[in-house]
Amino acid sequence: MAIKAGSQFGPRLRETLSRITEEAAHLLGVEGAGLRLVDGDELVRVAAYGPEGAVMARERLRLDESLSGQVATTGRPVIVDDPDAEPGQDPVYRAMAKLHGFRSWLGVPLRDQERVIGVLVMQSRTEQRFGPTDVRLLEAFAGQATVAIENAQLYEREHERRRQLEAVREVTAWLASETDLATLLERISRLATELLGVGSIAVYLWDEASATLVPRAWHGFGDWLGDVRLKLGEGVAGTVAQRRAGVVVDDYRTAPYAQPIVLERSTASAVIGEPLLYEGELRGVITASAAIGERTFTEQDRQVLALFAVQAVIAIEHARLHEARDRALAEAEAARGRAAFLAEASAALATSLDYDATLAQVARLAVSTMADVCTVFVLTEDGEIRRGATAHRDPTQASLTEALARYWSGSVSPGSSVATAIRTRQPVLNAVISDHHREKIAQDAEHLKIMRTLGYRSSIVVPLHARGETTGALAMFVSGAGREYGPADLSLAEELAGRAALAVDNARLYREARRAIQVRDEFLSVAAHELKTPVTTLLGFAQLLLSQLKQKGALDDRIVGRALQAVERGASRMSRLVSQILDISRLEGGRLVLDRQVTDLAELVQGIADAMQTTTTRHTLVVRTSGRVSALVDPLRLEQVVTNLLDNAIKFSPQGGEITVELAQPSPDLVRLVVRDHGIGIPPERRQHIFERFYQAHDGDHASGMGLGLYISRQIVELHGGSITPECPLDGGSQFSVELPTGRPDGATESGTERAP
Amino acid sequence: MTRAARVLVVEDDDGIRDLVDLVLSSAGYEVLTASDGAAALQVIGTVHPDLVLLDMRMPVMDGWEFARRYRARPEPHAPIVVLTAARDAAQRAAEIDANGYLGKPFDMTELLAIVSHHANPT
Repeated sequence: MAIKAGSQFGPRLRETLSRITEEAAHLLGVEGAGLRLVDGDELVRVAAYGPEGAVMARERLRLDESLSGQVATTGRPVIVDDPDAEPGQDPVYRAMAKLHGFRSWLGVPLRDQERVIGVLVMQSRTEQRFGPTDVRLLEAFAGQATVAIENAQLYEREHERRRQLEAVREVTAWLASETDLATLLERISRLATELLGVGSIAVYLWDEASATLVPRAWHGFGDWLGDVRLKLGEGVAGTVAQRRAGVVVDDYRTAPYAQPIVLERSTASAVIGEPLLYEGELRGVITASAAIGERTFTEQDRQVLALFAVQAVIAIEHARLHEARDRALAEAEAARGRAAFLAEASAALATSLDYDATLAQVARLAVSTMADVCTVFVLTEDGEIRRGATAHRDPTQASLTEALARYWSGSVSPGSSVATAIRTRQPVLNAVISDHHREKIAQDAEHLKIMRTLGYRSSIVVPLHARGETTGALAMFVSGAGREYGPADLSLAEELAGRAALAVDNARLYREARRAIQVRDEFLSVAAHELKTPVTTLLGFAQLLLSQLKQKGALDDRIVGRALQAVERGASRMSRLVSQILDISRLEGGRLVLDRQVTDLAELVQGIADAMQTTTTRHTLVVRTSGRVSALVDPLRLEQVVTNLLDNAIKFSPQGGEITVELAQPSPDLVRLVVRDHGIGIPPERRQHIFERFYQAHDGDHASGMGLGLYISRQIVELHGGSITPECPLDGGSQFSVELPTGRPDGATESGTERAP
Repeated sequence: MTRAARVLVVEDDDGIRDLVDLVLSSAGYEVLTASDGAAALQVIGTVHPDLVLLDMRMPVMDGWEFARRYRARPEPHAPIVVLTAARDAAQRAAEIDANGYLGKPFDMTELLAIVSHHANPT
């Protein structure tokens, strides 16, 4: 056992040592007395009697450097009559003796059996003061004193042990009331420093997943300790964990336990460690370390630490259970909240089939529970990502969000989280949006300013899937420090997105169905309207002829001729309308079949032009072609296309003029037909729609027909594997280019059929 | 003896134009025809009609534009009766402040009745 400096003894031992010294001085009637105890290869002053500083001037003496040392080593008393004549005496003693006038010196050993535990020293100002009687008397006294000292030491040890036990009990009673694990570990660490009177404590917990000890709380080490991980057998803690038993290390720095980082960053020298075991299972390790020269640890220290560890691990387990219960409760509560929210969301989303209202509802739902701002993005048919609706928790932010949206210039940039989520079909979680990130994506200073003002802290973007397709994305943002989205938010967002996608898709289908119904209604209305004109003629002429027959009993040849002409025109117009309606029906049902034959397009076009020329006097139809142009086509269907194009050209150039049909074969396998008029042309905003069903580029004013001609023409051309392109020449009018593959007119297949897709 | 009332038929469909021409001529009206609004304004530039029978949907110049320009001309203004295949013939007539309307297809007796009602030679 290491001997502490005298002042550090317990009161009982200190008093005993002082009393022994004083009584010895009285016994021999001397002016000075002192007591030293052996500590390793040193003698430590534990009590002194006499003038202050005159006796036992040095606290520690080496055994080999003084007469006291000689007494302790030899176990024999020594008498000094003249300090100046005694070369073995300590020079400091000689100087002090001289100063205070001490002349004689007597030292006797304190023996416990054969072992010397200390030296009792007497000093006198009288010369040659000590004789054999004094020696015997003092030796006898020393025998008694040794027993008294050892008793006192035992008492002190027992007392210290009791005190520590008491402390452990107090500490653990108090620990058990702490249910927060982090706080508890911090307290355990601090209490251990107090209990063992050391500067450095580390509490490690065993991490099953990584099979390492992870420091969770410590005192006397820097933050660097937090990065240390110890496997079984590594360092003192790892050794303790492996052995599941305490370890006492006197010199950590040379022992095999030394960890480089600990050597580098701390002065730890003596270390003890105890496992934290709960029902035989390793939960962690607690270690205490003393700096170089500070102290060493005894078996008793280890026992105290072991006792403390037993109590600590119970408290840790208690806190863990508490935390697990709290977590389970919180999770149950959160799950109930999520379920309630999702049920509410489903109900809310089912309230409307209106597309825009549904988008707005989705955004509002997200804001009601998990976002400060939510924007719904919609993937359009042409692959663009558009903003559908936005909701704000704080309505005053709306203007800022709108300002922000202007930077998207209508569509979302391809690198953004929204685009990524839609492209990869995976959610994107930006747990923390840094200012650095804002600086990186800012388009200008104003943009950056808006983003900073909004201060989005964290974001989640989840794609919307419906019927196997990505239809858009839900972007949610929260602002403010410490508000970050985590995995639970992400899964809730995905659940919400699943419901939202269905609702949005339903609304979209409903909207499309309504549009289809609207188109059908319009078609019926247009068809009825178109049929009324020829019906008027037929009905009118029939009535006219009937009334004439009734009045005059005969028919006027002139009127009959005009009537028949009108009836013929009206009837063929009705017939054409009926064919178009049938064609549409065939095209939509995939039942339009081509009957391909090798056809001379030049002859076909010329024939149509000649026939149509007879219907107009205001227009001149000119066909430009260089001889025979053969292609494998359905001649009747192609005739329909050319007729339609010429019909349109005539119809939309009411002032008359030249209409040209140019037929060329730019390459052996390609035929190009260009119909050009100089009429009213197609308004630019309507050009993209002219091939749609029922679309009329000039509704209301100039139109006649159902808006089916170009739609059918395009379908026929595409069935042939060709294309039809409208052009708007700068000098007015319209031009349609039809390109067709010649389709192996010389090959084996002279004719064949193909189905519409 | 008063002269026959003069009716201007503005209609792009040849069949209907011819029909109305024949029916009204047979009933003793003087009939002028035009295939669109612009042609009708040209006719009006030389002869004042007593009644205009006006189709609405026509190429070059439609019924709406014709009515606007006709009314912008100095007096006299003949009454206008709209001929239309639209479902809401009455609304079409109201749009251009016409005096009457006749929905297509129409009966010959209806045609004669409405013309005789509105066509008064001045």
